[in-house]
Amino acid sequence: MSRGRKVLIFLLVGAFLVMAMGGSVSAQQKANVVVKEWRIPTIFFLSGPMAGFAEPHKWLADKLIADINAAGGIAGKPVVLDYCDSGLDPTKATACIAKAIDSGAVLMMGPLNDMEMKASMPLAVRAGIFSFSGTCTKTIAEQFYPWTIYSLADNQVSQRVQMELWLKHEPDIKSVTSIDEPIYPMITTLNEGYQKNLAAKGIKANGLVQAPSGMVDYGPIVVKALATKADAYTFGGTEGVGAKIVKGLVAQGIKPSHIYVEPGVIGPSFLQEAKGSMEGVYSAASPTYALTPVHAKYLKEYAQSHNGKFFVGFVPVTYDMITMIKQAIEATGATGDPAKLKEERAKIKDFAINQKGFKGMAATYDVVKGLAAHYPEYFFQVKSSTDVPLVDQVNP
Amino acid sequence: MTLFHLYFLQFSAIYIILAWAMYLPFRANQPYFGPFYSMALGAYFAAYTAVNWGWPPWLIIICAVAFCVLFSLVPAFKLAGLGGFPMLIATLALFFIVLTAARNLAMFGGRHGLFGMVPLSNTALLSVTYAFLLVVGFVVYRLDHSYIGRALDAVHFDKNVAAAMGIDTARLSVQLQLTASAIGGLAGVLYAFTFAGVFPEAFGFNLILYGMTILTVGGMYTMWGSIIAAPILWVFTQVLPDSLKTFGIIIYGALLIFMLLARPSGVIDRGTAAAVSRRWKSLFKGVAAQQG
Repeated sequence: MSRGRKVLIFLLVGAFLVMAMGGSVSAQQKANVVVKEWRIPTIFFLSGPMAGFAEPHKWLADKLIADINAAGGIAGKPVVLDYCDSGLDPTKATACIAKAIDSGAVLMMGPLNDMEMKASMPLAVRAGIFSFSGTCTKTIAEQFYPWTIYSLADNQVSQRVQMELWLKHEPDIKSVTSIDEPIYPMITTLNEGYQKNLAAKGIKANGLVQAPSGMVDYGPIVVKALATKADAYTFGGTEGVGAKIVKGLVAQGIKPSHIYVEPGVIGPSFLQEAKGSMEGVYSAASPTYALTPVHAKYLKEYAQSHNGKFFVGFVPVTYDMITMIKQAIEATGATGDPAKLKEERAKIKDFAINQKGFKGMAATYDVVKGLAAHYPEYFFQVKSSTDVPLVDQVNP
Repeated sequence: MTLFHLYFLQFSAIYIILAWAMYLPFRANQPYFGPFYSMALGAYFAAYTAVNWGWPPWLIIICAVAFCVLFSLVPAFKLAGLGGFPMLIATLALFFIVLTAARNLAMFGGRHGLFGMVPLSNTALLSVTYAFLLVVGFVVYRLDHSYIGRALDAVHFDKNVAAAMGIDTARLSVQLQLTASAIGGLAGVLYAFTFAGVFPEAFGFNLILYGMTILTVGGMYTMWGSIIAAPILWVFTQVLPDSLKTFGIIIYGALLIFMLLARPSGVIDRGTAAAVSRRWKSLFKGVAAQQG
């Protein structure tokens, strides 16, 4: 037999053995799984002032679980999300995590925001259960490392790159004022970051103008912002207030392309309320543009079931978290055996905090020490209420 | 006991203590929001001294309560002369001043808060909290059933009549404010130990709304209503069916409005408390007679 043939046979046998072992591991895991179903504690704020923000997350989560179960579940067992309503209340978020720990689950999903994370993660850390949050800020993920994950673009990188892209597309910008609706610390941090990065590029950074939530009329805020004599503005806050501010600025002669809004602002309400003023506004998120085929699939299904509405920029994180959960359970060979709970929780944590080439809904990225790395920066511009296309992209 | 039950008991106790702190001045028709800013002050004091100076819990509790009382002493005499709506606005403003300061000062962790308190064991946390619940309950009960309680009744009926009867209403107001602030500060310390830290969002407007709802629904004129209202109101959104969870805040608001319209004195008013007390005493007498 020739040498080449021997090598080929060796490779074929080797490949067969690897496949057989992989198959047998999978079959082995299925045989070892002791739970009848994977019950995943899911902490979302289903009630409270921001319940509307969590609704699309829940819709997507339920859809994904249905699809996963239709395809055979995780390691051959169906999946059930055990929702716990944290209601944007720190005490309830803590109670939800307490329930998750009591249930003996190998992992949990959520909470969705920093405030609830701050309240409840100390308990999760003490119990050694990994929280697939994804939407918390980088600061929180670092604070509670290695027990949670931040799966969005690095804010500091994002702030710099977004401002660079904005200046690249609008080189006539000379000075910028940031209007800040301080609903979360992250919003103010983002605005401050925009100012800092613009100043580093030689743009006159006029600082922040506060836009408190719940005002009847934002005219005075627009006037105050315009008094800084900036020729461009950034805004961070809610969709409704964002729409009012953008309309006010454009009515006073500011070009829409000289307005940049942080990703959470670009949502269905903003696109409806700011019609006629928003066409040309830039942002790092688009509720209408599908970045991947799976993104397109769920965007379409959501629009069909919600009278043509789109879901906002952070919702793809829920897809990423559920996909990671499936991969974590299967890759670590988790069985759900109560006797091995601590060990399996630790293995899942070790898997989750370092991943290479994770295929998310909006991007493919790595996870390094619990933080997303090499996350692409997307730059979108509003064309209409149904069209916010990609105009530029940077892969850091 | 599961962790969930433990935290349910823990937060119920803290909210009952907070509600009792509000109950005392409200009993005298004084809408005093001092307990809320005292709760924030107590929590931040506890977190700061624990994280930066490593103070033991017993020292933190004593000093935090003392600090809250001293802080409240400053505006107390002026507030005593105000009463009513001006007192509400002034103490609400103080609440937001305290929060804004905490949110903006780097030494208190700014927007992110202060973390790193060495957590108490679950048993110790619950034991300490319920020990203080009993102590505060005893203090409030004794105040209620003393000449101060009768003075509060008189002031509640008519402040001018009470003054004409010889009650020093200004001094009584100051005493109420300081007592309420002390109890509020204690609630804050327990809150900080529960989270092993403190952050500004823990003391938002929701806290005021929540505290007021417990007091209104439970009963503004007895201390017993808060014991029932606090745990029920805190947990009910947790036990709602999934289809109703998104309406939790609406159900909450509807309940508050219903109580204000149908029974403004709350679920447990003076009459209910007295009737239960009489029933209890007659049962007790009956049992004693049978044994005798």
